[in-house]
Amino acid sequence: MAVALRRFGRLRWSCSGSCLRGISSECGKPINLYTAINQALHSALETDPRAYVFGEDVGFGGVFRCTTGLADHFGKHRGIVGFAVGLAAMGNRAICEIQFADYIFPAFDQIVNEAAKFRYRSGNQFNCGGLTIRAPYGAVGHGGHYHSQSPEAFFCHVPGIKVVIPRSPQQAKGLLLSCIRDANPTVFFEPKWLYRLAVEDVPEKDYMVPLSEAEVIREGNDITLVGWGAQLSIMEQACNEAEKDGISCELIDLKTLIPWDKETVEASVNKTGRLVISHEAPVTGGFGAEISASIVERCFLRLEAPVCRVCGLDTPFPLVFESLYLPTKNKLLDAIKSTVGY
Amino acid sequence: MLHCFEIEALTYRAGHHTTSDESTRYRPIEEMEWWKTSQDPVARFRKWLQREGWWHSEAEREHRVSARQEVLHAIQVAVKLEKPALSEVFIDVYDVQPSNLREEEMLLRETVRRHPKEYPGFPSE
Repeated sequence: MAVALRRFGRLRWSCSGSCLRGISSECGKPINLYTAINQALHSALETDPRAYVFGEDVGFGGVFRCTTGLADHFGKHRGIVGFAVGLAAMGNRAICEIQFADYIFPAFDQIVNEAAKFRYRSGNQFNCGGLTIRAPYGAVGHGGHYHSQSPEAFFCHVPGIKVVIPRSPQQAKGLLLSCIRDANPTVFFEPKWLYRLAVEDVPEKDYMVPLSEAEVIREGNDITLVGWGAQLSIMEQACNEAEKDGISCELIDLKTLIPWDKETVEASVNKTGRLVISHEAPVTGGFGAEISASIVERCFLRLEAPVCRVCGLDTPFPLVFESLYLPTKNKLLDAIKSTVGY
Repeated sequence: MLHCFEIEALTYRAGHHTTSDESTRYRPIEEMEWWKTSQDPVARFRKWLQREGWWHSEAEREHRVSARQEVLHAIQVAVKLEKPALSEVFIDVYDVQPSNLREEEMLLRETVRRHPKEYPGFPSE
């Protein structure tokens, strides 16, 4: 954690932007990411008697404290994805937690071959839409091979599920509730780096942030940047620096990776003519490749430069080499400048 | 004639799951203490050695002190070591390095060359 603090400092988002976008007239209390997620889970359990939360260690609050108090309040339960699919198939809301996204792979068959195909293979007679799988993902400063991975790309290749990644506490609460209440199985990746570090005013009431709607979180004219999760705050820093060099950056939070909001990204690239995509996951076959291919199809004649991807290296996530591996602010800045100067 | 033996080993995790775990939240502290004091195989082995007269508390104390010093010294040595070379990032992904990794290594060296302060401890080779 000491390393993370040195790198990040304390992140505070101001509430006013989101309030203007109509989330709430009352801005709420400043809380961090795991508390926002905890609130969303409380709301889900409170509003639906057929909602269940389970996963490894969630009974005592979980290793990141996201499920604190839920067992005391609502009663205990345990089991993971296959069990969750079954529960959801019977009309319940199954909210299961995989302790680290790095450990989600044993459940991959259940997610791909059961959950994702449930509605389709039964001709809509059955579905497991009530399924939500939550997992902490991403770099944390010292996670090494098995506590740092960003596996979203594997899941974005699976028709039938939704993949959602929040950037902040306020977004996390609203997006998680949308995932839980969505009529399709969803995988919700939570940026673990931000669990304690990110603090933001979050409305205390029950609210939802819509899925498959990207958000322009910073407007600009010279270049579009697209990202999700913890990477957005790195991209924001790069945008601030680029601004000093007179480059006006537009930054988009994709939020839902599948099905993704192509229209918002397309509209932005039609305005700026340039696109940089950034994610922690390795560049080859990462979700940035899908965004790049789609935008080139849609905006070919408008593009002033090749679409650029600033991503993790094509190696397992390293331990001592983490700072070299990640798509850092200066790698982004170099990419912004070379794309603008193409 | 072939004899087969099967060993079933029962284990108990006496400590916490991780540094962020507080296991007294889900098991009684007495249970943990019992396993640590009366079931720990290392402690039992020590008691047996002591009963045989092959070990005594003075030897225990001396060895604990010297082992601790050895470890602390090893840490001091390790801390001063330089980080591995940047090329180590890109080897052993496969048996033979593919072209995309050769390309990425070149790009990374260029990045480090341009922003040396951002990557302290990594000589560009």
